[in-house]
Amino acid sequence: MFLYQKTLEFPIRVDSTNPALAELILEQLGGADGEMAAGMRYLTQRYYMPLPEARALLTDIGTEELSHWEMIATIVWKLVEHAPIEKIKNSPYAAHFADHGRNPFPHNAAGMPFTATYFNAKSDPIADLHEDMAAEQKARATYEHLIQLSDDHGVNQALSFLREREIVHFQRFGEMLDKVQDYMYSNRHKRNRNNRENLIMDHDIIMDNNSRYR
Amino acid sequence: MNQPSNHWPQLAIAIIPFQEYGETFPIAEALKKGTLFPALYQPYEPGKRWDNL
Amino acid sequence: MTNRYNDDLEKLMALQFAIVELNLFLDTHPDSEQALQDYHKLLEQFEAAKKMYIEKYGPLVNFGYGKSRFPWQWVNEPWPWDM
Repeated sequence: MFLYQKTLEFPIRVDSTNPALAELILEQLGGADGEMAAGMRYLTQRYYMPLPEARALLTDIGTEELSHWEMIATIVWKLVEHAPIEKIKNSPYAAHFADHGRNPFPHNAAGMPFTATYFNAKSDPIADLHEDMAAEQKARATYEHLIQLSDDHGVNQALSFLREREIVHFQRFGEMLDKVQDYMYSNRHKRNRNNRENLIMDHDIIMDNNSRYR
Repeated sequence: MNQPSNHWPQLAIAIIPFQEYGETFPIAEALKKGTLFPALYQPYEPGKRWDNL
Repeated sequence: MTNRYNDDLEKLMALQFAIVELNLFLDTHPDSEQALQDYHKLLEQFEAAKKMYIEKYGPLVNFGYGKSRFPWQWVNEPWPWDM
């Protein structure tokens, strides 16, 4: 189940009131390579994973992504919280304001709303883990774009933190891919010996291999 | 990866090397940088990646 | 008051982050004794920091992970996005 801890993962300090920047930062709140997509992706994929370590990793990184989602919403909130309406009127944030006022809302920088089409779960651990690794790289690239676009030092510190997390997550998913590939190749090897038809994710096989895979 | 040695390297398989546990940053510095591990710290330098191609 | 609150949280956040990092490392390296040892060292400090927070400000996590004085402290400001 999900619990909530009353701290951000990283302290957010915003050095300016900047609705135009807020609109760009929303890309990571509701965009294709953003934190909501990441969190939903990993928390959705974890059910079919064959290894307990994979279920743990997807749960844990998925949870961390929700904390990142909260950080992004906080950055957006702080950039517009005290913005006078005159500053909002003449900025790309005005369209967001027309619908949502100052409240952050998951759409991307161009205003497209968040959609589940941004992620997938295939019941294929190898495909899923490759999607996860690609997602982390795309998120990293997006943070690099945002860092280039932003002149706010406080915001850039938070963006740099979030960017580095993508690199670490990529490494973890890469490691898990290795473990899952090991598991699947060794099982295929065993099954071929017994002349069984392959269904790599056969439920029986998962039950037979209840002990942790080495 | 634990591939049988007579089948190494297998085609069409992506492999990321495992990180070995080692040096860690002091925790306040780790928070600022976004990782506990110097081995995984890859800071962004605008203009030094694809921008100059 | 807000500044004290911020300071109290900073150490907590640094410990929490290091623990998140080790948690993820252990998920892919469950057999790393060194990582597990370091995880427990941090956990000790984290538990102590959490205890202090809860005594001062009430529950840090919802749904039963800390006591509260009267009246119910969990609802108190500031919430993390307002700090």
